[in-house]
Amino acid sequence: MKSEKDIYWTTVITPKSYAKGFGLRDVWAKRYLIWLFIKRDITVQFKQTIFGMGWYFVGPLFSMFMYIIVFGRIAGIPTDGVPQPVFYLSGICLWEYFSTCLMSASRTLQINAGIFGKVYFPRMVMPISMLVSKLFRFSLQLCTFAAVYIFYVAKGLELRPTWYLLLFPVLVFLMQGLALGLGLIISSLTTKYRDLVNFFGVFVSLWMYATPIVYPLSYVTDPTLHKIMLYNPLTSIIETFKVGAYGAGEFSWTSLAYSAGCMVVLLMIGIALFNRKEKFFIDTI
Amino acid sequence: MANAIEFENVSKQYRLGLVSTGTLRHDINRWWQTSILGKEDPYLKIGETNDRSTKGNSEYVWALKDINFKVEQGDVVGIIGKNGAGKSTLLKLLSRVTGPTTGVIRAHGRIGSLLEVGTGFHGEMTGRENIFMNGAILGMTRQEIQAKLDEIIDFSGCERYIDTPVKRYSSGMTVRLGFAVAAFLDPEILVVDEVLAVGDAEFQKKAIGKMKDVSSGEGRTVLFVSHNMGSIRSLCKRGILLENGSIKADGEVNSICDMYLSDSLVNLGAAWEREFNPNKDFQITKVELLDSKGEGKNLFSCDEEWHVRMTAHVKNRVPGIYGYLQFTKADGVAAWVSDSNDIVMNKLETLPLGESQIDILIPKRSLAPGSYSVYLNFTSSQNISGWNVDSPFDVCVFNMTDDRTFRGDKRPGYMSTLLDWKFV
Repeated sequence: MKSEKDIYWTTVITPKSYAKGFGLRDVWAKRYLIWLFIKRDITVQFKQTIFGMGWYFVGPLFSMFMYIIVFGRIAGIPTDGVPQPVFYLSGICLWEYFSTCLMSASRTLQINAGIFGKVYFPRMVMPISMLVSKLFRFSLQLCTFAAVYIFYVAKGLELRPTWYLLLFPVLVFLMQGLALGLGLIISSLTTKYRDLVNFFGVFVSLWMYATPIVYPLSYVTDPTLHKIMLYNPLTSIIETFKVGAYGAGEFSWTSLAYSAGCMVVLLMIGIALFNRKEKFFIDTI
Repeated sequence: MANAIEFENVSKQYRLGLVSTGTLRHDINRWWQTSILGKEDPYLKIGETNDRSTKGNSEYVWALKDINFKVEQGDVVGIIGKNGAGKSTLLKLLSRVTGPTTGVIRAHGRIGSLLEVGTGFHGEMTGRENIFMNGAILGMTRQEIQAKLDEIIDFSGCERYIDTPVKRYSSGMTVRLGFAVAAFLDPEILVVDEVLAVGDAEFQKKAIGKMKDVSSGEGRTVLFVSHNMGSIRSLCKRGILLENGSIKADGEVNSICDMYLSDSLVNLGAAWEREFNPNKDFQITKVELLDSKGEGKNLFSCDEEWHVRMTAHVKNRVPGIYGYLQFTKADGVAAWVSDSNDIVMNKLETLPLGESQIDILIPKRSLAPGSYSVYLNFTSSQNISGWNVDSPFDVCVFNMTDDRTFRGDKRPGYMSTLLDWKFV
């Protein structure tokens, strides 16, 4: 029961965490601020560049050529019967979105220490706005993918999307949730001891090779290895996209549900840790 | 009237030094004691009071210790104290930038904090875009900003540049724009840290005027930190004096300001001496105020010449060193500033090794009657171990008296130079 006195005070500051529950209501109250950060992030990126957005279209093409040479030609890894550019681009676009989201979420407290040291608003506003603003770049890269895709269809290749493509928004949501959850965990753990930053940097770059980006999941014939691959929550997301886009890959509701489960757990741990750190990190950063 | 803010046993501990393996050992020990053994945090017992000038034994200091006070709704409270007394920490706690180590702070109403002008400004965005950004960061809603947009632009005086990226603004314009947004912030409790110290004199006047409007009308509660006793006196009704993290005095603003000013100068007189430190490259060991006969005193007539005489020791030449002398009037305003390189560049660099005397002549009819303190600092931008080479800071106090003119000691202002009213 709250006494009358407790109701009178609108703000009570104690050594304990600010956030009630997960603090998501406070974040929702700041949605206008989130929107402004999204707008700022997008507009600032193209200021004083000659090519502007062009870089986003071209970027994935460079990686694609590299993959074609290294993994396609030199290593000779098959691509599920799909033209190599289409296969690699689909993986590159998704992975790039996921890893940039993860990277920016994991440095939230560090990068914004300046502004956080001067004013209070729910700190979660920052990583959430990043997830959305990075969508812009992601959608431009998907355009590159679509262009290459259409090019091959026009050439008469049998490439056909399947109904699973309708799951695309779900896939994006899953990637955002995973990146946010893990990013918040990393960000909370690295406020005081920076050593972990280096560890996670290495971890993320290796993670790509544990995800079917440069090879199809079907190429992993060893049953144990195949099973381990499916423990990676990103595997099913990438595979579902490939099934949806051109019908090659493995899809199962179970593994998608597993990814969703991972997301929920990571988000809960991430938000809880972040809320605990949010109050005092500025003293130790 | 009802209270707007309550501080109850609020303390804030900081750990000094670098984050290292030692920190990790303490953290593990703290975790072991509190989480596993269920005891109290062992490091909360060992902190020392935060006195910057003496070297402590503990790595932990209390930036604030057992702070208790209440502020009524509509009160305007000035918080004063020396650097490191805990003023900014107190405001940071109230604006939730960081949390207290112990204690509870309660507030009634929306808190708007202004610890910096223009938080969140981005150089690539236009003035208008930055108004929205900064306003939202400070806690305004979109509708509020929209409704006040014209007033904000008008107050800032940047209409012409409002659709130009802020990186093309002069630093003064950026400050104006930032302050303009903050001035139209409309919370029940406003927390302001020394932001008026920026910008040119005209704008400062405008800003103080605006602050006065804000605090006098609508029963808003304001907590205001400043080193400028003038603006504290004109804005606040109540003052809180902090010293080494505790409240030293709390009461009517003028008496608190007087106490602060006399307090910081209480041990000073006409001469100042300190022990010779064999490790320093450059140091002042003695400062005296002398009349024209060479006698030490600290009451001078406006009609006499007098001297500031210092004894300097040079062990090694410090490149780029220069001296800064300031006469501060009793109201806290810098009345007169002199740099050693005003007339000849690098004058102090050529001082011979060993002991020497530096003499500064204060001409007659310069300072107005009143009491002043002498502030000294020696700095160099090329010094390896830091900007400050030797920092005596406040060394002496003296009084000026005018026994010749009709107005005499009642003459306000900072100068006593007499002007001739000629017929031409």
